[in-house]
Amino acid sequence: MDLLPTEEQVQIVDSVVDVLTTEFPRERHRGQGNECTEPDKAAMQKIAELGWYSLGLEPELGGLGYGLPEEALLFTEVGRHLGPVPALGAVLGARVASRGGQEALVGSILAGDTRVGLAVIEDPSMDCHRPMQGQFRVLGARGCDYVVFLGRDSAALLEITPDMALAERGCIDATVSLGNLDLAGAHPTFAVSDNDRALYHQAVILTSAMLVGVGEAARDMAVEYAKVREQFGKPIGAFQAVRHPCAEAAVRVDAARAQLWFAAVCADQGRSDAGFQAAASASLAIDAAHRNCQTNIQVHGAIGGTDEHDAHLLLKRSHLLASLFGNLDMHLSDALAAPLE
Amino acid sequence: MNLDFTVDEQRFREEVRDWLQDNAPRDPQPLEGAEKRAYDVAWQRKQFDAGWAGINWPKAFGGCGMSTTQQLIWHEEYAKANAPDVGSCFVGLNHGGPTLIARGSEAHQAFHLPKILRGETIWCQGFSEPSSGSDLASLRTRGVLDGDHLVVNGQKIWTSYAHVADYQELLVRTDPDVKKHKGITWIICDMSLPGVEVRPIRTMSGERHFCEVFYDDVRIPLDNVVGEINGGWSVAMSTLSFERGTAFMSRQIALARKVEELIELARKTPKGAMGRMAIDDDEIARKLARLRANVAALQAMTYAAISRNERTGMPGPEGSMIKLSFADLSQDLQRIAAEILGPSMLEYEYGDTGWTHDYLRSYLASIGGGTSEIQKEIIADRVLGMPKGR
Repeated sequence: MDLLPTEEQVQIVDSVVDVLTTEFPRERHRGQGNECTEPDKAAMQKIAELGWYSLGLEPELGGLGYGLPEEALLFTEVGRHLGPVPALGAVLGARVASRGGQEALVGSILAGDTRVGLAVIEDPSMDCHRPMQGQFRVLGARGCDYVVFLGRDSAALLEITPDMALAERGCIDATVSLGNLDLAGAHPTFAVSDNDRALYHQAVILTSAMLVGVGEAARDMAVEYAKVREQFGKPIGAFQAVRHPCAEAAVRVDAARAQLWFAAVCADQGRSDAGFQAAASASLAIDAAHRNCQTNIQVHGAIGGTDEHDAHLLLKRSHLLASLFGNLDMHLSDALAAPLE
Repeated sequence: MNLDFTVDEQRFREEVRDWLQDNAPRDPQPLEGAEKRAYDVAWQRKQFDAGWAGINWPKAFGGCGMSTTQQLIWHEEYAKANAPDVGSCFVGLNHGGPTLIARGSEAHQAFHLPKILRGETIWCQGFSEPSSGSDLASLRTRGVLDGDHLVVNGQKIWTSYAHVADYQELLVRTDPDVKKHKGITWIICDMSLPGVEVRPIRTMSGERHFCEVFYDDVRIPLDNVVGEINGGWSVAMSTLSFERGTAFMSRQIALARKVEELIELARKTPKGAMGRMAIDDDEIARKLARLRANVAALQAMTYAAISRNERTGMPGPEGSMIKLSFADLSQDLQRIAAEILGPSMLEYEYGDTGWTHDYLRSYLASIGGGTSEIQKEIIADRVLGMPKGR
């Protein structure tokens, strides 16, 4: 038993961090107002070439053959650096396409040629085999060719055709393009069953991973500021009124990270408690991200509440991620009902 | 990143499970006093006879020399078997003994260690004083050199099991004229010495397990000093990091068990309208769910800490994070229990065991062994590297 990342896993993280800090630095979002800063197709293709989308896929399917733990580590960094959310659409889209036996589509997604938007799932009990009805919010909507839908027990890919109404809207997290997709009984291009919920657990865990990254970034931003900002003649980080909220932030996100790793291993091995562990991971990660973002803004004072500082970007990203697959209440219900090992 | 146990570890788990299932005491652990001591030492003796004493002690000192992973397995199986809390043997096994192993003389080790392992002696901890709680280093109980003795005068408090203990790990001020950390000595105090007086203090849950201890010209041989005269602070710190490390595991696993019991309680306790149970209350269900998830995460944190320990051989400052979470979650659990039980928790008298007792006791979880505020200070200093406020 060793829950910590291996040397090889740390190397993967290092290379991901390298790409994020050089190609997608967090500063590029700063002070952009409502301007959407989502990377374009060419930029996303670079990520695809580096193997981000194929990391966890089996080699027979053109993947690199790693697993959920490695993907979770990757998406933690995406969260921390406010990296591109559509990467999750691509990873999940490729997985659904491979389950559906759509080899050509898998290849095209892995190469970054076909782009997959991510449907925000308000009700995870949705049956993706049925015609789709109503309004769906889609993340990574700008220029997407498909939209991936992920319920608890089924998943689907829907090809976006010119006759479909996919209207772009402003997104609270302007680093992501958001579209409203109005569907009146559209049949999914293809749908797959997810009886063991492996796809759903993957989606929940990778979303949790991004939230953990956000929560760690918020903790670090708060602590670094508390070390340098001086009031009453000393750094505010010397006052217990500031130290203790920072310590609480550290404990919250440390717990969320440990639970994320635990859940990733359980889901990867198909353990019987994978559902519980994933739900617990989501609950902890949402809570840690939200509350650490609050602490971060409070520690910064007024500058933390402005558009000129990065603190609000983290908070907004945490809201976006918390509502991707169900919501906190639903994850909590799962955490109470699901069996332990 | 893996959760796989080796074949040897699995075999070890089976061996531990079988032995605990056959041997863990089934009769309830008494709450206090001589009865509790007798119960605890009998159980310790049984473990010793079977070769299970001192799981975290090196083999050279009569312990089992288990790896941290094996200790985890032991504690997991211990909690599953519903084996009793280590109780009054805690200080000897997890503070006094390990300190002697780390810093004691050969004579200390030869005399005391076998007795602790066999359950022949009970130890207590003489650290806190009425004026020295979180600021432990400000302690004032005096130790004055007189020939080959240290003459001790003063008072200790919150000393668990002092009234049933044979020995005490005692911190005294031997030099009042230097910086507070530099003038402290760690000494073994025989509790039967003339001048030692113990007064048990009743807690709000009713039992008397911690005490005040008064010292009136108590003459302790200098041979009992562990480490150097005035070098006691570093000796004391080696035991505290131990307490926040692996010694904590089984209580934590027992907590996970307790969560499942509480969920069961919520399923069968009526609340509100006819036919509705506590678990049907959304508010209670949400709290239970959060608790269950958070306790799972506490276990994951422990796994991560053990992994780090196995790699580096050192307990890290994350022990403070685990201690803080454990205290918070123990109290969350008991508050939810009180909410579920409603008026039925009102029926209680001293000596009762069960949910109300545990609820009342839980208030001390964030105080004993270093308050939650002190844990946050340690995290701010050692994990986050924040500027010192003190």
